[in-house]
Amino acid sequence: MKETFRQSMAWLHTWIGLIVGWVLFFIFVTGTIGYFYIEIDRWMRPEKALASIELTPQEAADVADAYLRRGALEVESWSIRLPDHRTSSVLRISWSTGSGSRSEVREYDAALRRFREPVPPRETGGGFELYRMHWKLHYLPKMLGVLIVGICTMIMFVALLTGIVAHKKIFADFFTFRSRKGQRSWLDFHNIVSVTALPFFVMITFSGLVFYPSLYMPTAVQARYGNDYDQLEADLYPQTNQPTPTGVAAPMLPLRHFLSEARRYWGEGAAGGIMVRLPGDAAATVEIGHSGIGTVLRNADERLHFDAVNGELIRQETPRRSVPRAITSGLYGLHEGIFAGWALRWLYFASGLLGCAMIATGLVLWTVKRRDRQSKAGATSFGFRLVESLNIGTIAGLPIGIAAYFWANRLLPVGMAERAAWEMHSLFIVWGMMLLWASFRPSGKAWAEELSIAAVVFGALPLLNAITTDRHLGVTIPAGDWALAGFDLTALVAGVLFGVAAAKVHQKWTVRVGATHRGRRIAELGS
Amino acid sequence: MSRRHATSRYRWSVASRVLAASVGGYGLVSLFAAALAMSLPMPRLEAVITAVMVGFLAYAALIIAIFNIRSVTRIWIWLGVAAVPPAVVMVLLLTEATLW
Repeated sequence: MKETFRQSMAWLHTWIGLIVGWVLFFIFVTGTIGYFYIEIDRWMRPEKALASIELTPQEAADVADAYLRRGALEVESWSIRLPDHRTSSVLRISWSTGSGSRSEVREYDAALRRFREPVPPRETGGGFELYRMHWKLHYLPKMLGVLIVGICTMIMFVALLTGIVAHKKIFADFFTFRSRKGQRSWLDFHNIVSVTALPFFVMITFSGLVFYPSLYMPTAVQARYGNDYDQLEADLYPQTNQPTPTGVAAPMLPLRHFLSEARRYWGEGAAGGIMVRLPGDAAATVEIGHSGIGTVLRNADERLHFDAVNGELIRQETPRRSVPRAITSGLYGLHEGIFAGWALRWLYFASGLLGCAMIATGLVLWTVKRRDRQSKAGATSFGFRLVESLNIGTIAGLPIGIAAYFWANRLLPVGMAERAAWEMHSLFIVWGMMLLWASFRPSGKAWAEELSIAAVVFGALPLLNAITTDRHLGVTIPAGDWALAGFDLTALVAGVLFGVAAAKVHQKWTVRVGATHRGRRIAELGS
Repeated sequence: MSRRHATSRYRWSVASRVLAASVGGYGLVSLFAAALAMSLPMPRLEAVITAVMVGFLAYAALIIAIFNIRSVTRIWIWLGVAAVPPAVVMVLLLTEATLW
């Protein structure tokens, strides 16, 4: 293509990076946020109880056991979701009568020490909907979003490889940062953020591809399975056998016993949930599911089946531990980070932010590199203006849209129809507005304006929270609910960072415009 | 440089490579992955998983190669040639023909 291999790779890197850059930015932002989707879910449902008292799994099992034995023996199944380090005070139990046709749900209020019906929170998609867009996008037919994300992921994988090749002195240059040199500085900035978390990016991108083999490499699946996806499911996720009722009553061992057994097999705190089938019947079984916590290999498919009456293990379902399965399990585990504790989770978040910065700096670098050429030509081309508007409207505009999603969560009337859908519409409407804004304003001004808007909408979020709910910093910090407090504090920090960026851009462009007589030409260029 | 960007020859070259990388390359890799899944001496789930992962890696390498080979014609010739072995493997395995 070009003269040398390295130059060809740089050319390829530039153009494929540009084409999918904005979609990838969306994917990275929603994915990064997704590492805290449970905490965001909690913030977006302020009607729910504060997380104040920790229940150990054993205490939870005892509490659930007592409640269910008293009130729910003639039912088909019990389901207990045990508290874990992220939802420590939420113990959810439910029981279902007859093929899941009717089920009742209770939550344990650890402060009041009793079960109650879950307080109906406002209708919202919460953090999970933000996270889900990471692989499904939005407004698209079911698998089309997943397909588009997959195509962009493959292109990103090539962009990473070509970027590595194009970067000449990857170790020596790591300590190079030439500030205030325009294009050179942006290149150094792009290189630093990219190289710092490079192993993470390679892992996250390749593992992303492996999530949907039936969609991304269907011929390989069909070669062995044909169209028999049920068989594929069965190979991947071993089936559970439903016990048949005998009609004979028999006392069950306390649930605590089965948790101890699970601890013997899996270690401390790994049990995620308990399901009891046919409680009180002689054929009753207790299944313990793995929470996925504590091990990178995604063990969430692992289950232990016990006889409820004599406590013996009936079956241990483990996904077959072959090398290929261990590799994919490990990749899923590393990508999703379900196993991660707080410190590691923040590290995931920081790495994700570096990824967003990698894409953003790359996109900006593209325009910076070409701005001089454009100014010499006297007028900006349509393509250049398009890229600039998309850059501003996405890099600054998407975060503003996400803040709008949180604002809508606090401001939309609780009883409103389609409330959750309208929270999402708010995100896209505001993002769309920011894209339009960027296309009509001179680019320097648009950057400063949109970054300022981002600073305000994030910085004011804790204040909005205080005005509209009683889950604000004044309540959550004294109560020690650090997940909820963390959301407000993170929004505050985001606001400050956007503000700093806005100030820097404003300063740079004022200097640029005011500097010389030729500055008038540049000012015209900006509009 | 900019004069080069403007030539239609350059544009056709890029368009052809994009086609080769997207349609042609994906087709070749799909064929290769299917042949691999069918011929790997592993239980079927493991064979499929392995073929899928190898397929992604091969596709990335192929895209890089397509944008490096100087002659566009050569790219298409190589795509065609490379498709023959996996195609032969597939035919043999699907028709359960024996060579000996």
